[in-house]
Amino acid sequence: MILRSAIARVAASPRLVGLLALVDLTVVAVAAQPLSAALAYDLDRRPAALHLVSGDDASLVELVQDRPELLQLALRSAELALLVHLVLGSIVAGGLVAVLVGDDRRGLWVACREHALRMIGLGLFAWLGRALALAGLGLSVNALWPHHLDAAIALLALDIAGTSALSAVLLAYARALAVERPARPLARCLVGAFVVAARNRRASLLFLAWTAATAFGVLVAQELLAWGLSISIGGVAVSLFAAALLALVRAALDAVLLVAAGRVAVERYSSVVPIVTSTA
Amino acid sequence: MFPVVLAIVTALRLAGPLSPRTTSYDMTAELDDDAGVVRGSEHVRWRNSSAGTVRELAFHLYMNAFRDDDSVYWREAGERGQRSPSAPEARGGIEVTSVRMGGVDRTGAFVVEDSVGRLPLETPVPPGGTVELDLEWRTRLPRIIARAGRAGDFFAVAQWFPKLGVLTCPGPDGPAPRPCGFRAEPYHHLGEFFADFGTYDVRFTVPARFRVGATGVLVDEQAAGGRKTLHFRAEDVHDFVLAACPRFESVRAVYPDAWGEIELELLVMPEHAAFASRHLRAAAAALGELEQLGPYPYRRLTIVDVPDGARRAGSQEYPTLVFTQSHDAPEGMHAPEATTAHETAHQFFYGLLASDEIATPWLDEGLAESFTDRVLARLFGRAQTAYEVAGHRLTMLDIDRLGYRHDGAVDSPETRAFAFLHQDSYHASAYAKIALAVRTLEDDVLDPQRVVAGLRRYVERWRFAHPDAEDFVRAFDEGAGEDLHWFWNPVLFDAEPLDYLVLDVAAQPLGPAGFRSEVVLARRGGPPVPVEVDVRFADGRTVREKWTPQGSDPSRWRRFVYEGAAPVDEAVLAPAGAIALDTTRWNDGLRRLPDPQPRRRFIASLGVALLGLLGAWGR
Repeated sequence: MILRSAIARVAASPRLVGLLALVDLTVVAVAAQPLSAALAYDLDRRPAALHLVSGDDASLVELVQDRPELLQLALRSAELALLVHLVLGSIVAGGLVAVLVGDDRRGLWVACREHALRMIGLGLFAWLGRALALAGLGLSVNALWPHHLDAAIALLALDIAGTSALSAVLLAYARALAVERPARPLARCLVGAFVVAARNRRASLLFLAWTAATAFGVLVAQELLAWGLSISIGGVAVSLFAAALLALVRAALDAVLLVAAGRVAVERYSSVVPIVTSTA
Repeated sequence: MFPVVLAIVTALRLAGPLSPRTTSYDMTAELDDDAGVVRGSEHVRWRNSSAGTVRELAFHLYMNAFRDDDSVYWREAGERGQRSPSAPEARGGIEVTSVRMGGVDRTGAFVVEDSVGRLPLETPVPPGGTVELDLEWRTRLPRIIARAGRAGDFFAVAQWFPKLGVLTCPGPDGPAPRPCGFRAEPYHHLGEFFADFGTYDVRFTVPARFRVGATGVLVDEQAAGGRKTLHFRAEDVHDFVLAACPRFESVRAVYPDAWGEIELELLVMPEHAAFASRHLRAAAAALGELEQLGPYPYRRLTIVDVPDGARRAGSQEYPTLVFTQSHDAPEGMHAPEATTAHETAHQFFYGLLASDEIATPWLDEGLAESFTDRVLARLFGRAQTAYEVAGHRLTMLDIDRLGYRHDGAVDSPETRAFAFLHQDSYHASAYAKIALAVRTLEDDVLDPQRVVAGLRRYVERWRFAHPDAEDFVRAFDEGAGEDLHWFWNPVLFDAEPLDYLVLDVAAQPLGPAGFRSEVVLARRGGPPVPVEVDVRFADGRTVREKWTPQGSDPSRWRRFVYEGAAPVDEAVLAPAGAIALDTTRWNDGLRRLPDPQPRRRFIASLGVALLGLLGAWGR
């Protein structure tokens, strides 16, 4: 019921979903440009460049051996993309929550601007949590790698899915609480998110399942698409269209979570944690 | 308990003796599995087959490499940045407690330096003479560090007894006599072993619950008092190894060939049972490839799968027994098969052809690596010998080439094993470069049949002997029917890698009638292997050229010029398949005009992957 009403609300605001997807696509497109430019000299006059997209991994290793700075550039670009994605994604998510959960009539841009810093702050907290979870995972995977490859990959996938889903749900609660009362301290919003999760276990489990399943599904589809591109299945234009479509689906699913979880947080938090309006 | 007497009393399936049998060992030993100690005694007989008089015997005491930090092994390892483990269980050693000759105690005369023991002879051994002696010793097995030791209840009992070195003096038909001596190198951080052919008669006692694999064949087994004594025999081999573990499961198979049958036994850890068929299949395929070179002369081949905690013993060859390991890899990744294939190939290139693994490591490692590639190609096809997963693939030779291009430009293959800069350089030159060179001979210089003929001649001429680099080259060239010193010299004695490249592709208008096109090829280092190039023109025409930078045209570059209606579009070297030894493939072709399409596709795949990761990370 909660999800159904959230889906209806998100479906009624396609432009907001489009904006979320646009953030993702823009960040990736911009992040890829430096690497693309750096590769032009090496690849464009070399017929061997075709090997890169034919599944011949030796070509890729050879390229990285000869131009290790390209790998560094790719990693730096990915790091930067994560950071920019955090900032822009958080701002737009805050605006979306304000409009669709808080019924802010002033429009998306005003809401985005008003909550921007607090949304980025919350995003940073979640980022830190995810990074810590991954670091812990890294230690376990290290123990399994390379002799238990299957187990290492399974553990990695499970942890990414779990960490991502848990942090997404908690963050959605916290964002709604932060938007509901702009004066509420961020730490209190974060604590409140845990309180809401604990007091609304059924709803929280539903959101976790929703997030893990849908995120995993889209992730698999996206990585399959990347794999198809890397071994020359289909044309670039068709693949990019598919990528944009997947980004839209992903944004819509994220928006549904933000709205559904946001409503639960706003409706239930005040009932369990009385708001102190005056002191004696 | 009743003794079990087996009918087989020889390890050979061909009529022997097959080797000079310079040494013979009668050994009795017992494993104390709690203490990780082997106590043993041996009666050694050695025959002087040289033309010189011998005044000293030298024994390998390899386990002393792990006695303390001052050993040659740990000093060399330290120079390469590897620290000696300080835990007491990581320490090993061998203590020779008694040496007797003809009833005379010579223990005091036995001088131990690092992992070599020397015994001056009171009576020199003349040419053709023999010497016999009895030794007693105690070997403490370290936690597995390099090839031998213990890991829990698994024991790799290797390099565990006093073993004679090799007398390298000329034989009666060789050059004039000179002072002769034993070659017995200490255990080095890089490099393996060298010993002489002979017979082994070994009685080894273990707790009854242990399952044991060993060199040779089991002749007899007697159990008493919770322990059992296994009697093994091996002829015409140059080492003796055992593997013991109560958890081994035994899987047997038979490989039939032109000379009869070979019994295969895989001793596999229960947790790796799913890999059993993969190991046996790889071993059978390896024997199939080796069969082209001549018979495997022994009845049995034992393959020992090591537990996860003993992987440092898990890729090692011994006569008629190899250690392998089960990487937790899906079917599409062929690491388990590669390990078993490589170690099985050593049955020829080390087992039968007992080259000095310290002085000429490439002779066994390089040729075994080359056969690994052949075996995997036989099993999985040439294009995906290392793995084929989700459309991505890599060949073993690609892995060799990538390692070689990264680390192979420092040392030539003909470098003493311990003198290589580091492990990667050792692997790149002694393993990878030789495998790439043999493939280059197959594809671009000779053909597969002539390469097999060359290798077969080498095996026929030098089996049960100690060949060196020149012996190999001479025998190979004879079998292949061609003098290939122009190829072998830069491959074996130079470190400079081969790189062919298209240096330039250009076209200039000649007026309304057409264009003057130019293609420049170059060669950087390595043997001057003939190479073909396809020159493609804008009108769809392709011209195939051949450049043989030898003889009258030894230059490092070659220019091809064309005049015609259409300009050149691109030039691609080795259109039938890249030269295996050519380190760099990126520069094997060049377009006159850029084409950004492949780059865009590559970047798009990276971008979509990043998009997925951003989504998974969350916003």
